[in-house]
Amino acid sequence: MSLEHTYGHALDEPLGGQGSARDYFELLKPRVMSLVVFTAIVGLFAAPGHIHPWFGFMTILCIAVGAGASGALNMWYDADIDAVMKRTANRPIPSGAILPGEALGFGVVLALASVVMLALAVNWQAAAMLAFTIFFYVVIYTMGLKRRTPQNIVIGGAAGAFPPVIAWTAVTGTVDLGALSLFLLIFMWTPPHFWALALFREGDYAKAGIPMLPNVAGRAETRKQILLYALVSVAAAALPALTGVAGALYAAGAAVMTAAFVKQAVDVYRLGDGEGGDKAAKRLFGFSILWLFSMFALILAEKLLGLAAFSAVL
Amino acid sequence: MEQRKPVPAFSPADMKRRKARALVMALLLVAFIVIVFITTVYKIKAGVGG
Repeated sequence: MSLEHTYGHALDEPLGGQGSARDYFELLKPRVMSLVVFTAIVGLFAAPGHIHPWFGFMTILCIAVGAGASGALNMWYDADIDAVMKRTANRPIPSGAILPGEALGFGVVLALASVVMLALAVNWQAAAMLAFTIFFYVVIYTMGLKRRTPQNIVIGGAAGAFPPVIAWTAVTGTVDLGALSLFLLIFMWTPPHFWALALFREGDYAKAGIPMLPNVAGRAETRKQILLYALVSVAAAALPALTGVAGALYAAGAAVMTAAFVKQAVDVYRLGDGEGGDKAAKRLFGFSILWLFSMFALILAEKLLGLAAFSAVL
Repeated sequence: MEQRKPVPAFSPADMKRRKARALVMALLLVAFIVIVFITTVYKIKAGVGG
């Protein structure tokens, strides 16, 4: 066996240091980070109480950096499967721009920095929750669940649902039903969102050996599960109003958007396989992003406009 | 004693990328220091130490 084969590169090639700033930025999964930042900002505004604008900014910055660190560590661990999937083959590690060890170091440093900064600048409760979120995404989801069970994204979805709760905790120092209602909005959204994607990217996941629901339980079962979770999201959508986080504007907007969300899920279920079904899955995937964005945007709009929330009944 | 291999020279494109990356790192470091400074000032003002 040649040394080149052993080390995976020619020995006169520079060892790392080839990635550009853009490559490192890509390692942070900026699109995921933007959703994390947005939901965290809403959590910050929705929480009862006041936080100094600078510490509010610090909270969002630390959550964003923590999310980026999670993305980098996820790409480090998943480089082998990213290389075989069309959607992810151009990521910085499989494309060769950044070495796995560089990504690991980058991710670990950012993770530690974000948690320590949040603890020192804001409060240790929020920092502990950020540390748990990074651990949950990297160890529980990426290393544990993703390659083992078709329930990977159901449980792993919790990691994506934590950011508004962390921001809430930064303001209040505690977690209550209001924070839980924001958590459940994202938690219930995750399965229909990713299973809709899996329905039209099934081949990619199968090639990489990831047990997504369509590969394991079949497409019909996946469509049924999507519909069930969409129906449960009706209850999740009502929770912010019932816990006193949101008011009439949210209730009206959420009713319209959630009815449309359920309608799209019914379409996916009804149309089954074939071109119509695939189009319905793609439509649901796109609409699910709009749904989640709208729910949080409505809560934020109410707070910024100073509109009263309903009295809590839960 | 075995002679060490020379380090491969960087191409102009490589150099450009490395300079850009170094600049970004320097700016981020400055931003980090500014952030820590402002946070410390506010924490001292709030009477909770540095």
